[in-house]
Amino acid sequence: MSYDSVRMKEQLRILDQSIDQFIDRHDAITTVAALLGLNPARQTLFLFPGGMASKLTRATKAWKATGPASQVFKYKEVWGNVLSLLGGEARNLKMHRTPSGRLRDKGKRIIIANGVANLLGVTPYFGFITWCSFKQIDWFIVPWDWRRSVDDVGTFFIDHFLPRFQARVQAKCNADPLADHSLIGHSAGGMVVNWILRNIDPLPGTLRKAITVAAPFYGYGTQLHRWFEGDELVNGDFTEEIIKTLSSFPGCYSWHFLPKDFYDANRPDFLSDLPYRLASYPSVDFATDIPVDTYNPQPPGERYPAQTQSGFDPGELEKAEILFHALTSPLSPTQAAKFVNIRGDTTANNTLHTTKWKLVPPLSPSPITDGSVAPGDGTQPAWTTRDIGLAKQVPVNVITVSGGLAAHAIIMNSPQAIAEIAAVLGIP
Amino acid sequence: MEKPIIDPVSSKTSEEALDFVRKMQKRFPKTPRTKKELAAVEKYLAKFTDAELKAVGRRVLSDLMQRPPRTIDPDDFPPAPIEKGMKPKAYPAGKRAAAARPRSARRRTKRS
Repeated sequence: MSYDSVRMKEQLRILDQSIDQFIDRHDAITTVAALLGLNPARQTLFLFPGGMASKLTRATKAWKATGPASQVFKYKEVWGNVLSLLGGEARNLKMHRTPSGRLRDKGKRIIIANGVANLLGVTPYFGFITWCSFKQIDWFIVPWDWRRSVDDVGTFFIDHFLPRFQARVQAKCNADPLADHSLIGHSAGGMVVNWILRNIDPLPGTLRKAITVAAPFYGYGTQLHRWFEGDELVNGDFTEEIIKTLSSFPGCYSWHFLPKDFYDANRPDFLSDLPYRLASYPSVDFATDIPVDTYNPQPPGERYPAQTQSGFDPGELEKAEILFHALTSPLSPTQAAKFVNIRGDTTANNTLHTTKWKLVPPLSPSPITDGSVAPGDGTQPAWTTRDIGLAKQVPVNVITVSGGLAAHAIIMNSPQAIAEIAAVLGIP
Repeated sequence: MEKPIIDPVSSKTSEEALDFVRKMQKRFPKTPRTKKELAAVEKYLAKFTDAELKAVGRRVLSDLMQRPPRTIDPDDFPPAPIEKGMKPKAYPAGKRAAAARPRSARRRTKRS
């Protein structure tokens, strides 16, 4: 059995535990409702956490190409707790491609997503999930491997997870959990939801809504820094290796700023988004302020590090550009009716906005600097967190949440965002 | 006296959270794996209150998606670039009157 087959089988096996918990919650609501003589309408809500918010676990032993068809492993957490920040542990997240282009985890030790991060006792989405439980929503958190591209993750969800989930819940609960269901994704998780909405075929009539919250449709400036600087919270004494590790993640290439031709073609729409207009292309040359197209930077070979130096992979950048266009393609009227974008504006006007870069070499000090700030959620500028096509087709489906609680990391727990989500889902 | 919470994300600033993490990275240069090493981490963290640890955790989770992990002061940056001619600081007198007139439908911006 191939590496990918084993990996997906293992991912499903681990997700079975979460499906069991879903079944328990589903049964509990059914039982309590029966005791109270109620018959509440049931809704299933799949929550995709933000990038880096899913816990990743790594097999303790390597996959064997000559091993049995069914290989079952034990796993240890490699991302999602405080230990992930120590001793360069994040280097174990590194990926590489085989000569045939297949992705492999470091040391052929399979990495799968399992739950959400818990850092020093803090778990994201606690408030939102508590609200879901209170409202008797049948919620399911879909942990996902944020190193992988959203098409990879979305394909797994549609082709492998959903059928298994539906079959198992139906068998145990005698109810179809997809009879009325919605998707919601925070940050990069919103881009997974975006991909699923555009690619699930046929679009299920039972899909009520596909909601993104603070999702970076048009990228943001941080990703460019990572390819040159790593991440200060993770680097420790291993900056070079962390940069190589981050550069090996295909998924992160599509967190990059939008292509310049897309900006030019849609400039009127970016300008008309008051008060969150994107008045000029956000990536510029340090000295001249001339736009630097992130996907085709000029002069060639003098913007990104060489692949041999840092692992930055121009091939992944090309794939990310194709994916970008797929994720921003026109929506059908049916897709648009189901699509909802929620964005945050803390009103502090301190979200990093434009990026300036110098030519390379040298790679150090970093050639990337932040140019300006704009309204946003503190991480994502507000101009990136809604689909411009949706804003034209169904303007009411673009919702802005304002105030301090709209900050990127906590927006899902904010009463205003929750009230908006409730309204969208028809939850009283 | 504890300082008042002014940021709903966390009472710890990005700088404080980064300092906390760096001190831990120095104290534990190798990823703790054995029971003894993990116990040492527990002992180290026990020096802090739950509230302190959670404040660091909230800030780190927030900053991992954002770079750099430092407090962003809008005054540190120039205003976002504005398209030339869209919002000049001071209009010449003749243009000021023109600007006050309603714009044609072609130029009127649409709210999405």
